[in-house]
Amino acid sequence: MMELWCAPLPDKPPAPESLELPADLLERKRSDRHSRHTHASLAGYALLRKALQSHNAGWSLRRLRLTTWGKPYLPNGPCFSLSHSGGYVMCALGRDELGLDTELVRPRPLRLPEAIFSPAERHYVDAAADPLAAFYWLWTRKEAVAKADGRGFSSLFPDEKPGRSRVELAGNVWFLHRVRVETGYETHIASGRANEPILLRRTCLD
Amino acid sequence: METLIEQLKVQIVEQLNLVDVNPAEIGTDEPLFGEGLGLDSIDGLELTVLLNQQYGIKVSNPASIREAFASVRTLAEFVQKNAPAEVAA
Repeated sequence: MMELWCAPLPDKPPAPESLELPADLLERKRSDRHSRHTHASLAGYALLRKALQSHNAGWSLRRLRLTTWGKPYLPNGPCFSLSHSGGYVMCALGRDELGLDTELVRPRPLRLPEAIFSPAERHYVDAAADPLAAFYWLWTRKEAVAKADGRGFSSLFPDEKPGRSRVELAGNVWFLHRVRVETGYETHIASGRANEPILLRRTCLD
Repeated sequence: METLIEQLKVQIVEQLNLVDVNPAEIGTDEPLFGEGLGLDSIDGLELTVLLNQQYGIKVSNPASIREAFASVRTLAEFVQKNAPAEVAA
């Protein structure tokens, strides 16, 4: 079973020092000067810490490491993926590798580069009754797979069969799970198992 | 190159609607994604659109521009190398 933790973005970002982050990650957070995502990123780590503490397994953010692609992981701990958008931060937690993406569905130009969107995907968005919703539905699926894969933006790819629940990428098979977390948000988790139950845990960080 | 770098900073702020970022404050060598400017993948989508609209560069796949998206300087180098001559001039 996977867990999906969800919390409203707190009014104030948690102090980086309060999160018990490892020294290198703490230094990165301290040196952010105008990162738009610093507030939400710190809240994401606070949510992860809360999720880890709920298991009473001695897991600590102090042991966080980054892969060469910059994906954080916890050696000998559970797999996790963080995402934030609009007024929420979320954290997916599971035994096996996974990727989470949530997006607030907000108006945006629907420009779909060929490098990332196949003709079939572009047709899917163009022909949809609600093209904006269709875009975010497709995008969060792509991003969830890219985050599970661990290479982020580099592993986004045009899919000739938009909407399938099983995706192969770099020798791995990912199954997509849509989660209705909040009205106005589109959320997907990619994991290695089909039909994996997801336990939704709502909490606050204030 | 310096003119292109400054131009890209302005275009990035405009294309991504970074309302609280002054282009002059963006470090030429600071990371664009994650820490640094703090862009995410959906911003990367917009940057590929920017490259096409402003410089006529058609990105073949996201992996090919990973290194170009490291900083404004690497992005400028990528534009110089890949933009059609009449656009880059």
